[in-house]
Amino acid sequence: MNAIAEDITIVKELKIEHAEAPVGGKDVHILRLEGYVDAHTFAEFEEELTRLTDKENQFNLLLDLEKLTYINSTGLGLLMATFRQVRQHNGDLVIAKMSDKITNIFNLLGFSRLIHTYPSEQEALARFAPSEAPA
Amino acid sequence: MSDAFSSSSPFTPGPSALWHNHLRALGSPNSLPAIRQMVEEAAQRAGLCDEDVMKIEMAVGEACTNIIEHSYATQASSAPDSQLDIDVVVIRFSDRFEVVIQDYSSINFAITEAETFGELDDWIATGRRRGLGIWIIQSFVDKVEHRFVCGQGNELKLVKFCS
Repeated sequence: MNAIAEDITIVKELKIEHAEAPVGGKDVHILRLEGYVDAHTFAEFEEELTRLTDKENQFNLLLDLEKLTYINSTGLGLLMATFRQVRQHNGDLVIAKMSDKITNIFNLLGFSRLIHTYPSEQEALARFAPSEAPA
Repeated sequence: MSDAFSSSSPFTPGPSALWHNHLRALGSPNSLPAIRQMVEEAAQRAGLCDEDVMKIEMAVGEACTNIIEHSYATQASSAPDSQLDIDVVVIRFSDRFEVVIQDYSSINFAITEAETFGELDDWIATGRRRGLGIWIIQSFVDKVEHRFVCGQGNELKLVKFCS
């Protein structure tokens, strides 16, 4: 039973939708990823993240990974490097709506201990709101 | 040596294989989704749990990426196209699921001997962006075997045992 690459249809590559949401006086940049991050699509993912951080100095990032089906080690390395970078600039990188598969990867690699994840964009955005001072 | 290696070709596994599948793809990043999809579907058919399916899919993805980005990238301009394929064979034995990856590089890329960091926290602490792939290949499967045949290429076998 053999197969050739042409027999398999791959529906999505990588689509990145960008949105902004003002939260507590900050502009939170939302990136909604659809498809997969691998050697074929990594450059696009890197370009979008570095455009925000290195060129536009935006350090409040929310990644919506609901439709991300796969991420390779290079993509994970970029995520962790970006996380460290935004934290150094007093910003944050949080994740919303990870699939079970990506959640599994995050748990196995220990990323879940560092990067906050939320079940919805709304809850993730709340992370950027200034916390109320205790009474 | 396992059935997969003892046969004349990894594409025709020994008689103890319950079933197998073979994909030949061009050694290019465009081929990675098809390779992952074939491995994912075969691992599911083999009865692996979701976590193990994900692990072997990632390990194979990283191994094939290394072939494309390291082994083939340096010889792409000189080798004929036919030399730049990757063959991936998935084999279900009664006690294990194996993926055999064959490249046609002249470079001996011994993943089993590649140095990696010890703990993931070490990698995270150093802030390195690279290096995670080798760790995934070595850690996400139960057994890794590699052999290099001069004039033929690298054969990498990744094994998940089935409970």
